[in-house]
Amino acid sequence: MFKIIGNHSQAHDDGIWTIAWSKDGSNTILSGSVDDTVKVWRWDHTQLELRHRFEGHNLGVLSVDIDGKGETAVSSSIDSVINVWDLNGGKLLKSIDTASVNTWTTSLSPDGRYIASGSNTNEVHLFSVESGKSEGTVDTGGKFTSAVKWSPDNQHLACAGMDGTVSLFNTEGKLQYKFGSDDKSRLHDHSKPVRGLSFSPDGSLLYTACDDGYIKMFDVRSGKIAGSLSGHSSWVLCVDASIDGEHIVTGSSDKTVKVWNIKERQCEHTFDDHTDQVWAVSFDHTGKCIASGSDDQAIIIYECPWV
Amino acid sequence: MSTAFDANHSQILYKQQLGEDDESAESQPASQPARQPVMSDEPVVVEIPVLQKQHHEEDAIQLGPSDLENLDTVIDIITFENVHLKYWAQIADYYRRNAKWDELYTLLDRARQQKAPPNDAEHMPQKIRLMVMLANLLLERAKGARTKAEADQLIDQATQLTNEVDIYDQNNEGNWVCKGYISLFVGTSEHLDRARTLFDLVLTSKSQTSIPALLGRAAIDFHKDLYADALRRYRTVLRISPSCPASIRVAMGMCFARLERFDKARAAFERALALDENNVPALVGTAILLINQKERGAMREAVERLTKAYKLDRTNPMTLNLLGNHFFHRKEYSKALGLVTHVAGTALDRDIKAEAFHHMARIHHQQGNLDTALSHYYQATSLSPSLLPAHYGLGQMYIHKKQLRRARDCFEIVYKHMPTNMAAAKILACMYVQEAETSRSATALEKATALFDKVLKQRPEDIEAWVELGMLLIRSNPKRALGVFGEAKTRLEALGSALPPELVNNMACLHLLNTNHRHAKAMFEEALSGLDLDPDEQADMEEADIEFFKGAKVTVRYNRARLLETTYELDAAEEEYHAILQSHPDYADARFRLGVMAQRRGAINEATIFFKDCLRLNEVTALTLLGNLCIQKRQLQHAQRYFDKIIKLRKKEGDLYSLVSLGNIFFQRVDFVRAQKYFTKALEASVENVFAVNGLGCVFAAQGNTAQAKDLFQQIREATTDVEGMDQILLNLAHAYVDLGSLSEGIALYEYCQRKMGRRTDASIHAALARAHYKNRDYKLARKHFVKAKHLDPLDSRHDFNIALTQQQEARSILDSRRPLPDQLLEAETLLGLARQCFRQLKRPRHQVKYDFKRAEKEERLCVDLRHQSKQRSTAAESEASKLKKQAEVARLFQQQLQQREAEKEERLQRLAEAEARKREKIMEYEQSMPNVGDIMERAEAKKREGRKRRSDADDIINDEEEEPAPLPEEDEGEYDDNDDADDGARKSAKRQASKRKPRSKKSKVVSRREDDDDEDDDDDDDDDDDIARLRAQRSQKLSKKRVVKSKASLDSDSESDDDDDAAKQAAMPRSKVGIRSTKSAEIVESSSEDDDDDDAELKMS
Repeated sequence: MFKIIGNHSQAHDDGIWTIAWSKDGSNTILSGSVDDTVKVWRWDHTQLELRHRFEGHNLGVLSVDIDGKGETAVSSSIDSVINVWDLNGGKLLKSIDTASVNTWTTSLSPDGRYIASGSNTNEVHLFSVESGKSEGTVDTGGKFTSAVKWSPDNQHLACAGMDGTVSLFNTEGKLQYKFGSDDKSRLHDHSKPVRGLSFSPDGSLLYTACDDGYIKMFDVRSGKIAGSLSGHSSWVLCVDASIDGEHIVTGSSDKTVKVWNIKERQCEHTFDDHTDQVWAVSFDHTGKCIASGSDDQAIIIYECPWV
Repeated sequence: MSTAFDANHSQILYKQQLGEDDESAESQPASQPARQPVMSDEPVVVEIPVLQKQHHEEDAIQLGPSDLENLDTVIDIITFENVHLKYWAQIADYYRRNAKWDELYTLLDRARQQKAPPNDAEHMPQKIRLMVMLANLLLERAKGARTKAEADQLIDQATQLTNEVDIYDQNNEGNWVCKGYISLFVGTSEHLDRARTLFDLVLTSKSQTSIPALLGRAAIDFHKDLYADALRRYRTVLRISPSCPASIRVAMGMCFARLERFDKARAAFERALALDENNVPALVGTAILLINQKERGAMREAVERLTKAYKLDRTNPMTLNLLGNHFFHRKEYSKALGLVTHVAGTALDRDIKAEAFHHMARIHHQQGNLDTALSHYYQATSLSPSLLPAHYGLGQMYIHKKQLRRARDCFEIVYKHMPTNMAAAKILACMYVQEAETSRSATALEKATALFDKVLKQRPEDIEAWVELGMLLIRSNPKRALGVFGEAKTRLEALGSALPPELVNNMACLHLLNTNHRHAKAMFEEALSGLDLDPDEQADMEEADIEFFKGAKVTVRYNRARLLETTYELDAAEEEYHAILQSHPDYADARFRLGVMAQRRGAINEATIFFKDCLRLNEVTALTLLGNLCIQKRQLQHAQRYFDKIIKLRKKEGDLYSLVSLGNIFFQRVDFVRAQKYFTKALEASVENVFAVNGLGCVFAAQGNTAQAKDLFQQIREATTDVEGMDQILLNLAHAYVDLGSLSEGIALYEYCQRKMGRRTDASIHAALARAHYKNRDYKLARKHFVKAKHLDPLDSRHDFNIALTQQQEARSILDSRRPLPDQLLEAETLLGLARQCFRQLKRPRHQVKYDFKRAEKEERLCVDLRHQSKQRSTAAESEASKLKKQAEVARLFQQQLQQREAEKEERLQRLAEAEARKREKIMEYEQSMPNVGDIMERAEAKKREGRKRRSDADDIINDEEEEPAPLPEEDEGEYDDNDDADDGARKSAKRQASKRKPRSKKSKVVSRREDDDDEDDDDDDDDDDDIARLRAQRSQKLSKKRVVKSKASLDSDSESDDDDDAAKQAAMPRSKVGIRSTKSAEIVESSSEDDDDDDAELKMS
């Protein structure tokens, strides 16, 4: 049975925009909010325990991400600041001011070495975690990069734009694909902002969450659309894939969280416990539990019935 | 046929009356040309005494039948001999008995002129008797008269005679009876009452058994529908005179028939025939009974009898009418027409004539000569207003002629007189439905509902009526409609059959309306499987039916796709639409939906292609959608061209939607004069168009008449709650509130729209909220909302500008405060740093931007200045802090001194208690007033500052929603993605409004209210409505086939008009859409009144 196993209302003083659940088993959950704070929580299977409260951002925390080991985290805010945090010590490691490039959301490579950050231009910037220096850029050719995501094997970087383009780069910064529709199939690509990206655990599929209400599956090998899901009545804001490779979770402006079965291409369950739009969802390392964050300032933890 | 009985009846009775006091049965043959054989061995009929002077004795002339043949001779003899009147009477009796009516008439006429011999008491009674007889004869002639004028003249004569008799003898019962019959003949209800009085007079007097009076009375009873009473009287007559003529039996038979005791009626007619096998009325009566048995054998027999009757009397109108009817049913129209035309031309009895006209009308009706049929039906109804079938037919003709009001009147008459005639009730209900649809009359709708309710109460098994009622309620009361269809379904299933798939489809649509998606889905599936034809079935069906099934199937599939859209199974929906288009490339709706879906997911070019493909199928809708698309793309001139074209195309009907759209377009092009012109035009066409009102409000606001605008928006809000697009109107109202300084109201309204009206993803509302908070000098909250707006719509750099501005302003408010704390100053510095950084970015834009980048530069400098100021203040604060320390020290010392002094004073006080107490008070006052003075000074300063600030605040409206012409080309309002939704919504609302059109009044608003929930749903509703209508049209066409001939015409027209309606609706669709668009633009109305403010705090964005 799908059920709620934790509900932490008032987790922040304002809407929650981003959530990351560590994949190392430490059950560390990061949340970022319009209240300019990043909070570090520990999920002990009954409740969320606040570990750290990071300040230092201005104008709303757009994204948080945790590396594969659960040691380092990055966060970005609208004022174009990228902060790198030491989760164990609970302190700021580095603050990268990227005002000159207008950083938007960021993604930390699973190996913890690189930060990719979208911007208000066609450029996606790569920063070295160690040096805090720019390591180069990739050109998406789009207008505004609204979402970036590293593949689980660190080999690819997916970028999505406000115009709905989704592209894939390799580590050399070379464009692999611009995902598009297959002429043979009727599946169309996005024409609206894509705000969420997630890779399947084996890195073969890329899922997108888009304002057009669709969730698309792109085949990383062929660059073609592999499938399409719809069911949210408003923008799909975020998506995360379960480690089991069979499920994904999405959050939407329609205030719901939906869990989808990839094989059946069907929505398996809809949670409608949030009272405002759901900006962030994240699976835990088992692929069984989900954390969601919403404009209603609450973090809700769900459990899915599969083993 | 009932009327036939009536007319026939009275006729027989008049004949009978001539029998007068003669009680013998044989005297009266029923039909005029008497064929009684003349007896061969002549009996003596009259012996006339002859006075012979020579013989001094009385002699007598014996006159036998042969002698009486020659009337002239007879008259010569009797006048010559000057015989007593009683002999005249004897001769008259002979003629009467032998039906020698002409002779009788002449004789009686001459008799009147006979002078009374002196001292003869016997003369007068005889004369009276003969006069009455003459009157009766005249009456009889009147009845047989060819023309009304002739009849009237005869009746006049008869009446004169009876009046004359009255002079001689007021109590002559024979005369009473005669007068009674005359009245009966005239037949108005007044005359009938008079006749009754006369007959009653006779019957209560000595001759209670007067047969003519009894018969007359019975006739009146019959007229008054008191058949049992009539029957009783006939029985009395039979008892008195068991051998009475066959016609009495006939009359009784008719009474029985009226009492629906058909066996008895039959027996009575048969008895009459046994007495007189050539009794035409009896033949006709039995024929009618046989016809009513409605079986083939009986019918044949009936025709035989009628044929016989016809042979006996080729002019009997009853016979002719019935035969006409017979031939009508055998489709031998020319034969039938010949017979009844004769009746219509010759019959004097209005009822019979009316019936003949009715038959003629039916024949023409059947042959398609509808104009002729109409005029004949009309004549029939005017001749005999009680001939309900004629009203029915006339109603049908009016339906054909689309004179629905007249048709309705006809059926109202039928229904009024036959409230149990459910067919009429149903048609009438349909008429009301029509009326409700065309005139949006709520009363008509109610009447229709009430009628169906009544029909169903009486005949709950009438599934068709359930279905009709369900159809009727679809719009007015979808919940109940669903229940009604459900009832029909269960009843049908109980009968072992299933609800037709079309109706299952309707039920599914209703479920969809009630957002019961699961049920809807199941029923669509059921409908689809019901429409599946296996090849065997298909082989048996007619081409048209197969087509119907195919068409219905597409409709259901389309509806199911709409359901999929509603449940956001978007891919499946699109697939279904594509599949529909594959088999039915001209199914415009599917193409429209694909276009709308493409538009909604942002694929504008794709949408354009779909809409353009539809131009040839449904031009107006396609143009509307294209226009909306262009507005979304900000291609306002293109959009204008599209809507102009619609207005040209629909010149006759007018197109509200396009008018309002054009108003919006010009508004967005900042051409307020033309915008106002179009909104006004729209309002002239429909006073209640909230979107036109809203548009006007926007124009007012844009021109600075914010208060007036607010009033308009408020009026809309009060008058209508749940029009789709209401959120936009509320937003406009909120903008007006904010502009007028009612910040808390404005903010509350914004938040309401955001939360309750599905506008969470609308960055512009956050921006508007931010602006309101900014005005309220709550810079923190303002910044929060700008940040949220930026998050939703990161492409819009105006949000960055605004964020920086709020930061700067927040810092300034700290700097302006009286005594900022050091960490506050630090915060101000930080804020200014951030703002400065932001402005620095903004002043050199890489793309076209929607803010004034030169101002960004200015603001950046200001930030630097302020920051410098802030730093100074910090250092100043530090030094002040040390100063304060010193001051505190001084104060402490001073206090010490004071205490010392006071101590001294106290000593003195003790000595001079009174005076010192006063002194002490003074000191205290002094102490208090000291700080007060300082306060006042500070306050004054603060006031000054505030005043300045307030002014500046008022001026720096953060106009994030464009609308005023700014230096940069792309300065138009930012495009928000959710615009799609709104546009789409607009389209929908158009549809909705179209469908809603009927009830214009408040009620209509109530109706529309129901669909506020959210865009998508609404949309479905309307489309479904359309579909339902379409299906209904199809269905009713089908149903009508099953109906009997009579109602067929009406039903057909019913369905036709349904089609029309559908078409109209579709046409209407685009315009009502307009409404929403206007709202959208309304949103833009942020007053841009800044410009002229003072330099220091001049914050504005265009």
